[in-house]
Amino acid sequence: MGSETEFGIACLDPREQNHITNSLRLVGLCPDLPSPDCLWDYEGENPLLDVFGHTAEGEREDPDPYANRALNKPLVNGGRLYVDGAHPEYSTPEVTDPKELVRFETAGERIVDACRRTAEQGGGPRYVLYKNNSDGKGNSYGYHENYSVPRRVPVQRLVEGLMPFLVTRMIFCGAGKVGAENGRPGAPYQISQRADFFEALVELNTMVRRPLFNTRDEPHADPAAWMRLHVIPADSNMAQVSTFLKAGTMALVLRLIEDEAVGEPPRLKAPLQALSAVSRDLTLGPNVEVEGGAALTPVQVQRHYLERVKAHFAVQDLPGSFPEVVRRWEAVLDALERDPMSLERELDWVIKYRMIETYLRHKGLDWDSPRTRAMDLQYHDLDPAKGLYHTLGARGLVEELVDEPAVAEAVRGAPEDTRAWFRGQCLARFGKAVYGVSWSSVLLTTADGIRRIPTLNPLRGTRAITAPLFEGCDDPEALVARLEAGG
Amino acid sequence: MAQKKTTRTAPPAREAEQETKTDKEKSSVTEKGKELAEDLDKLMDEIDDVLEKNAEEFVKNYVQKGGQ
Repeated sequence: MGSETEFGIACLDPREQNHITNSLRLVGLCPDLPSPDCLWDYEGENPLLDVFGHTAEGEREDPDPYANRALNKPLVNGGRLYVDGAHPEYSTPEVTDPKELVRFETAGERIVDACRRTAEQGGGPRYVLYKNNSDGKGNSYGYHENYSVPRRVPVQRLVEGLMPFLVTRMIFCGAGKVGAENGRPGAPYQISQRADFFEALVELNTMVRRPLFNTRDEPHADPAAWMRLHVIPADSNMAQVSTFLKAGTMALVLRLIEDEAVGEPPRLKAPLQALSAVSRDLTLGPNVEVEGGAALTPVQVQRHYLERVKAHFAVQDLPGSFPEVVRRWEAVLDALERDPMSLERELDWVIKYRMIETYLRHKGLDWDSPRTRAMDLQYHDLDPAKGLYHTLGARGLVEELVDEPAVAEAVRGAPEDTRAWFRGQCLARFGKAVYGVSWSSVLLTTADGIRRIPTLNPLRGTRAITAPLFEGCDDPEALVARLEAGG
Repeated sequence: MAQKKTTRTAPPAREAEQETKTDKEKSSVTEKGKELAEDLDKLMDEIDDVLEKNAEEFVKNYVQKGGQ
């Protein structure tokens, strides 16, 4: 699994208001790149293919080397910093565990903030970066999750199994938003940032008529074995508990669907209306209309999945942090049912709501005050000295799951149990001799020219498998020779 | 609440322990909630210092196009 975060960017210099230029400048300032001229290898990428085998109209991305280098900054942790449209964006390296996802996603926040600091220290313009999903004026930018799913799982089963889950999980991973936009009914405060922007159920698009279920099929792996589920409706989270539950519960539900063990989730009458209604009801009332029964609360819908997970898996034997996902999922659903505000240290939408509410009470203001929008936006500021999430965090008012030394390690090194490790090692060891990388390849400059090493299996290229290959390899030629000798 | 439970007629020992523990947990959760609320209260004056100057104006000018 992995995540992609598009960051909002503002520049405090009124003469520098082109977001594309600003984003390019910002990623160009990324410190400690092992191979600053490394290209992104676009061969094998086609975001226009969908899971039903159709090809959409549009141009495949293939920038010339100059633009390629300006847009892409492959990172030593196996991730990618780049410019997508008019935003800086960070993709985590591939991980297998939700707590690792939290660690590597947080590392991305630190990397982007380091770019901002470099600009400021170099006397450049002051940038402000936000990890949120909306400018509050009808423009949204995304947070996409990616999960490798075996190709044999029928897509229709994924759509049906996931829809009720996707519509209701904002109750623990919504980032909270003041107001409504995109022509949707007004609300003083919503649970989700993104709910106002979804207009379709199943589509290939990500920018217009955004669908709840995105059908892009770009597996970045052997297409006969894998598809990559590209999940686009979620919010970006500051709160680590929200990110942890978002990725952890999704991975478990996908396993349920894969194993045909998801049972019969409630059939939603109108998923898009439910999304909008759930986002607007902070009391989590029965807003989810279902076929053949009374409307359900979002907690009740989530409980269907939780109970199936508990029935299907021996929870304690699940790998890594997954047992904790199940424990927390249950505890959070219980708490949401009792009193959502009791999760004021754990979940973004509650943390932010409590902060604004307390402020308004102190100042004798109400929810119409423009101050609310300012606080909403600044909650997501990545600068530890300015961001309100960080202000709360510094005083122990939010619960964090990974500590700063572990995050710093994730800035410098790749996950060990996926192919990201091989990619990261090549960059760490061979530096500028790495000519290009992608999720599914590493290109090395050797005395015999450029050699492309495919990395089509996300679960190979791990430390356990490839560490012996690197031992005593001082240059790319030696590595290529070993690989050719059958390594 | 704790008082009331200890005067109940002869509950089985284990159940009594359990309930006292639950009461303690509950009161510790309430305590924690109260402390959090106080900490949050203390923070409010600092927020004005941290907020961008001309925060409202800044928010008005914050426009992001071209996102996915």
